[in-house]
Amino acid sequence: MKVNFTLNDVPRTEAVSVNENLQEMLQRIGMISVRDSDNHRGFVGSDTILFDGVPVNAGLMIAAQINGHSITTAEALSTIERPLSPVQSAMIDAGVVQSGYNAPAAALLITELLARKADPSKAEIKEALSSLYNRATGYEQFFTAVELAKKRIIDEKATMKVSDEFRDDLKYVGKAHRKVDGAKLVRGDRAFVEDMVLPGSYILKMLHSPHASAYIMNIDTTEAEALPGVRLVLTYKNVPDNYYTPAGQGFPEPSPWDRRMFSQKVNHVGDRVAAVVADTEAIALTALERIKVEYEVLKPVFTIEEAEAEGSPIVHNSVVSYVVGAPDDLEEKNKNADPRDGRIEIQFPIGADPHANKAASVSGSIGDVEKGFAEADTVIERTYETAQFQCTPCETHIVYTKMDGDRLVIHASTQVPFFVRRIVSKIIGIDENKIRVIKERVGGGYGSKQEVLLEDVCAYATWITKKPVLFHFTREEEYTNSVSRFPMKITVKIGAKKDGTFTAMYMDLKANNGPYGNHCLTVPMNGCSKSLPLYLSDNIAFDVNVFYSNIMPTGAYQGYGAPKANFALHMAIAELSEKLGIDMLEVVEKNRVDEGDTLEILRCLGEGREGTPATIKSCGLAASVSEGAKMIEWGKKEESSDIDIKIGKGMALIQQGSGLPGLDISNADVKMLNDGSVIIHSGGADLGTGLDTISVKMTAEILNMDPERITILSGDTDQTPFDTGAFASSGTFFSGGAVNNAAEELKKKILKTASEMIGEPVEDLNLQFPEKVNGLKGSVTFREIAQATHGGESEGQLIGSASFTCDDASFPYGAHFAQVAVDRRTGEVKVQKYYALQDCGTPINPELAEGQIYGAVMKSIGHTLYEEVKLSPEGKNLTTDLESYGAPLIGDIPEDFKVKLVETTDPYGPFGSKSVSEIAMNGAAPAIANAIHDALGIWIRELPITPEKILRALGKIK
Amino acid sequence: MIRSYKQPQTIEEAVALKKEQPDADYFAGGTCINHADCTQTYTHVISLDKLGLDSIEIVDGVVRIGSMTTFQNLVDSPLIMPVVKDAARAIYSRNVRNMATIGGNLASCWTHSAMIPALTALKSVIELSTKEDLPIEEFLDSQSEALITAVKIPLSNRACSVKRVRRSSGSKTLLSFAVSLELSEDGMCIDPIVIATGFAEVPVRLSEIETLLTKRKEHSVFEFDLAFRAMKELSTDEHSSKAYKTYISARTVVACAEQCKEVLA
Ligand SMILES: Cc1cc2nc3c(=O)[nH]c(=O)nc-3n(C[C@H](O)[C@H](O)[C@H](O)COP(=O)(O)OP(=O)(O)OC[C@H]3O[C@@H](n4cnc5c(N)ncnc54)[C@H](O)[C@@H]3O)c2cc1C
Ligand code: FES
Repeated sequence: MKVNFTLNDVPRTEAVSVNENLQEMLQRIGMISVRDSDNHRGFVGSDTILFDGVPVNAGLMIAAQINGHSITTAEALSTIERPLSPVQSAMIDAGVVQSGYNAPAAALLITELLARKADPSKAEIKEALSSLYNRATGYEQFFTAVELAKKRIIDEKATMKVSDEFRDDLKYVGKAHRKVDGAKLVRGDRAFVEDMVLPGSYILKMLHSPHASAYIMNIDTTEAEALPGVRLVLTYKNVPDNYYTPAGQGFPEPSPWDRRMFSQKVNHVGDRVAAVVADTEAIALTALERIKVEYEVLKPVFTIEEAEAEGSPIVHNSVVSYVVGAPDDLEEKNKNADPRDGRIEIQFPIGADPHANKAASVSGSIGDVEKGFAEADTVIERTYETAQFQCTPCETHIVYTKMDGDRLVIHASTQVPFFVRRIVSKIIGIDENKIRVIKERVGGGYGSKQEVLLEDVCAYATWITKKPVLFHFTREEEYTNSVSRFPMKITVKIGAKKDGTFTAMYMDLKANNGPYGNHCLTVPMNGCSKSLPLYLSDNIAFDVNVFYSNIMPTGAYQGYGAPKANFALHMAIAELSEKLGIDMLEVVEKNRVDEGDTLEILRCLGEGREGTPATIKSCGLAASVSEGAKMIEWGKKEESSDIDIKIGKGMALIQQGSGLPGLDISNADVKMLNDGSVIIHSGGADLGTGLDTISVKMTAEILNMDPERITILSGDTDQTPFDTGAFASSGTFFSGGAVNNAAEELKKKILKTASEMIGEPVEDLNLQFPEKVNGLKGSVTFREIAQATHGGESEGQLIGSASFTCDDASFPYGAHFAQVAVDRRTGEVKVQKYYALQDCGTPINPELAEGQIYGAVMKSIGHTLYEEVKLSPEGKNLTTDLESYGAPLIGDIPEDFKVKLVETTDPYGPFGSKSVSEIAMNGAAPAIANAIHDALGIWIRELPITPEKILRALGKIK
Repeated sequence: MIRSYKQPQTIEEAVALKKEQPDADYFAGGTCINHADCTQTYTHVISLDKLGLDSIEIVDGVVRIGSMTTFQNLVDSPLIMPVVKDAARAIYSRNVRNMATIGGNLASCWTHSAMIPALTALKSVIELSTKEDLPIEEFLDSQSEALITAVKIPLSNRACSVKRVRRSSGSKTLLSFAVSLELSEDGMCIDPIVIATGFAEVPVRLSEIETLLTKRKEHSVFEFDLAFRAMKELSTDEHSSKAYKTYISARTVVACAEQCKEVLA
């Protein structure tokens, strides 16, 4: 049928099929800002458009509905004369455009709000944004964005303070600065993998296992293959017999290689059974229905207890081999392996015993904990449990692969482009020089895009067919085939003297690893390494045991194991404080680490290798604690006018690392162009957090030039040098560090060339803003230097190349404080106040750093109170959409929510910086759980803390 | 899969189209029909877009709401009583409220219907294109396929309160209740109506609970606990236990009743 409508003020007629979804139709005709995040369920709002001026979800409409109506998309907000509207520029400047997948939708919502209400209240802003799910930055900075937009509607040049400023001695570093990719993201320009797809590309669709554990007895794909338009069907029978781990970690990985592209055994509901590559999605889906599979269904294992029980089913009864360090009894254990379970290849010992369902284990200690507990006046031992949580990026996992001559090109939404290249090369069996990975803008990763979850099969499909192929997870697949946080059971034992001094600490951490061992050692172990070192004790020990099971897959998630272990540790400290009769803050203050302390425990907490003790060179804990306590009025009892509402306060310290010292490496080139402007080639992977902006600002600072004259190209394995990627809080420190070093190299070359040009020694030269080298007598501009070095008589273009490695650890620290109001009648919890005080060294992008913290806190508030992956008794995921899963929206933000950056200067990080975002995941669970105890006197030792659990603890239900 | 989409200009034309093609369905906001989780199959649809059914007016002591009135129109209209606005806010997303219509809600298969409990508790009447007015409960029982043209809510001395039990602002509703009642001169509850969702696939009327509310001034939560505990419709599932559902149902209904009494006092 034909529809007549007005699109962005221009009348238009379009032929549509009657049932064509409007979001898909708008993308088809080029309105690519109208994105889909939830397969047309109206939760995320990435598909927002204005329909006769009113915001609606295009994904909930069919194209036929727009006949006779007017449609506005985010494409209409900017014009040739005005590349950014007041709302768009305000959003970027306020720091809310980070991963940016639904930033165009947010811009439309705010534009419509301000057209309706020139001066909206906070409640009205919340209502306008009720249609938007924002995982990256949470919601708080939208209030600033609206405030700034209001001003800019009146005066386009208006500015306001959007965040605190740091480092008076610097021009750009430590000050808010427009994010370098902000404009293209907020406008909805081509930026994401989906925007790169060429017409006529094949579509890959996956057949998923209906069983939690089963052997494929028979698989018949003939009918599917016979369907016109089907180009390739892949099963375990026709894919390379190579094993790998999807964990995007440095090689050799501390994760078992227990995956094959397709296997004869399926290990969770949703596991890969077969893939169809076809001309269209509809054909691929029909073909999937025609694949006949017979299973031998096995008894699954879901809990840690089931997995570790003697005689329980073995998730991977595989033939296990080690590259180095095989245990003596390996051959014996392999005797009973079932060939249908395939193989597991382990790079080096990680404490695994797959035949006993153990994916990894590690233990360590300093001092003598038994002696420490014996010396204590009080000992407390408690067990805490946490559920499975999902990263839920607005852009679900996606990859697009194509050939360029004899080379494979992978457009990826990844945190680890170079590891994608390595892993795909290994799986498919082609050399790395034949593969190019281009990291496009990433619409949210949060750890889940540190895993190579779909690149292998899509790349293989392209390699075989030589045609472009798209593989894009549905939201349901995101829940069943992406990775999630490991459910954990953590026992903490602390001994203390009467005055609260710790005499010993012990953590026994058991993790439910799910079906595949990606990150099975590092995530759980990080629980110990990012919580225990917050406190000093001569006697500390830990045991970590990680078990295979048939739940949904787990893996990397912002913070790794730290949010869970930190919950357990601070709950135990709160429980101990109560037992001692001392205020928790006093106990925390008595035992916490400070600048100059050496963390001996890190000796036993290397990432799959021997660790080293580290000395804390910068620590903002003292300031975070004292300021946070003041803000929340720690110790002051608050009362509600309603006798059934009880108010309580809680807190927790937090820490993380800044990348992996001794393991991570980043490289960068900074090049001067013909006119003196500069381009950076950085291997770093900006996930939307602002890493590219950091690189540009640091370069501008070092070279004394305007950031506008600096461009960055990053995360392209052909065009940029190697980088381990964006995980473990490494971005600013490592990738930023490499750019910093490369810019310093370029500066040296600039000075050397200038010295030759003006005939003065380098010692007498200095850089003057903008782009000028001054000597005592003469001067020369960057443009002149550039021209001189681009000619045939020169030594060549000026390029600074450098890498960044570091053996020293830099820990970001912080303290989070929460005040909650709990309704004793209903068990409902309201977070009234939340203050996150954090030290990230020098905050290079303060407004983006704050956004990262707001976002991480909102995620962890979600994990603490609302979110939960629920499985049926058969292991089917019952929460495969954001609504059932309980993802928090703007209505769930704390009533008073503040982030405060506490300044310290770190000796190792570029410009004294440390990491910022992962750490912010670690505070909400313990702070809120302790606040609930303060309010009601009950300890809830299990996440999420639901009203039902509160009522049970209060004895109101049995 | 939708194969045909007709856009009639008048009610008569719409009704005629339906008569011509009895398996066709009316199409309002489309938020249910187009939803990824929609369980029904739609092949031929008749759009109600151009029929002008979106007015709200008060005539003869009745608030008459055109069936194409969106949830957001209800929230924004000065003519709509607070409890109906409250019911409309069950759909947390303003975008969806801008699309979802009151008529579509009455005819849709959403388990936790936002509007049916409140409209039933308010003794609303459904106006059909046949010009026949059906009390809402009769309409729901009839499984009528007729075109809904309006919902009529009588202005009365009846107070009504709605409450929902859900974890976060946009998460799935676990249970929801609408309670309406009148007060006698001596402060007794009379003629209470209690409708709940979460007990069955469709909203249900809880007559046992109504009996407990009737002719009393004060209500003991304990009695409600016992009554809900006896209901086999409340059972433990993956999301919550029967004990919790029983407990929270009793408190929520009593809280609704208290709110009604406050309004009337
Ligand atoms: C994110 C989200 C959350 C939601 N939450 C809720 C919720 O909490 N509670 C809730 O109740 N609903 C909820 N819904 C569902 C839905 O939005 C509503 O039920 C809505 O009111 C349906 O109205 P509609 O106009 O979109 O109906 P449509 O989708 O157009 O139609 C739905 C059904 O009603 C029939 N119909 C429509 N209008 C008429 C009429 N005038 N006469 C006769 N038949 C008609 C159609 O034939 C169809 O069978 C939610 C939807 C989304 C996307
Ligand atoms: S789910 Fe189909 S009409 Fe509601």
